[in-house]
Amino acid sequence: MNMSNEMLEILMGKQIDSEITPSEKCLLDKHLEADEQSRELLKELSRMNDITAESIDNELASVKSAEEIFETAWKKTGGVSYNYTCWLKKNLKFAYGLAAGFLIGIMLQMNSAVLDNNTFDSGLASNPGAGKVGLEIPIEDLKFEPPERNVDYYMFTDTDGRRWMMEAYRENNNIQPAMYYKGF
Amino acid sequence: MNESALACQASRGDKEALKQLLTKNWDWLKRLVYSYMSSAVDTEDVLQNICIRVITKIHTLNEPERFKQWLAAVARNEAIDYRRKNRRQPLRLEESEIDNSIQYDDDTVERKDLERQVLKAIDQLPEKYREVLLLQLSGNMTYGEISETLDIPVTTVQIRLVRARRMVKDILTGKEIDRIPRT
Repeated sequence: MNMSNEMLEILMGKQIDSEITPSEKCLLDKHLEADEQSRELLKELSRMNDITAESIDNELASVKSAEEIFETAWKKTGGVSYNYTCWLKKNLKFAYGLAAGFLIGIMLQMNSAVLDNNTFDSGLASNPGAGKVGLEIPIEDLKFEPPERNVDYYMFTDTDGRRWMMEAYRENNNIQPAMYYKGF
Repeated sequence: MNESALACQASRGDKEALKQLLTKNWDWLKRLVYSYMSSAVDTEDVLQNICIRVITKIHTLNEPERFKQWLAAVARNEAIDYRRKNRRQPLRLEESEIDNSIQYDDDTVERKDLERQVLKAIDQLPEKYREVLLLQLSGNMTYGEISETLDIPVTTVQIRLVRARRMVKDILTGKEIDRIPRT
């Protein structure tokens, strides 16, 4: 089988680099057996490969080892700061998430506190001192007189912590609950 | 521990893992950098810069299994930066400090001379051929590993090796070099 020059050189290269497969070796050996020029070429390429490898090895023999160069580089970068920076950068996303969560928590807490101040028990405001309420009196029996005291609405918290709104008036810096006529 | 696991640990700040990783890849890395610099002195400087870059940027490696490719890319970029900053001709072997006080025998002199010529010939190769030739000459990289490191197909590695060897042979024998193909 005729082989192109490039194909032949690829097989020779694989032979030199120990990458040749058994079937390729068979093909190459068959060709080399029949062609002396190719045998010479393979010898030449093989020798050139050895010299090239040796030249490069000798040229690079003076280059420092990995450990030496690495330690020098480590000192230049400051190993401690590398670890810290590495840790920080890796955990930055987590830190951002934590901070965002904290902020949201504070906002919710503040919001809830504001709502608490504005709510009150929706139970009926009752006057502790009042008598019955809700009696129906014909309006023609009512005698309206000008009030002697002005009542107002006051909020107070009982011992159970419940908040109440009541009608009361202030007298001498004291808050007095508004009292209603028993008949009302 | 395999390389991916080491790369993973190194990216978390493990100094020993990083050191081990670089040591394992030192041989081919040295040759790859030499293929760009053509001088042992410059190669050492660039290797130092590469180590600094790797130490400060390893945490950005998101795919530990692609450490070799990442390292090769860092090496290429550092070599380009170094050449741009320094802008001097690579040190040729005849300019280097050859110790003339040492007496070599004839065979050694002939050998040294041949080595010098080979290095000159390699220096004249296009970079893409020099890369694969020097990586292959490290002796411990298969075509597959070279292909993976340089991110090129295996067939391209084979063809570039053939052409590199052919060119070196032609230069050494004084033959005119053919036009350089695209691959």
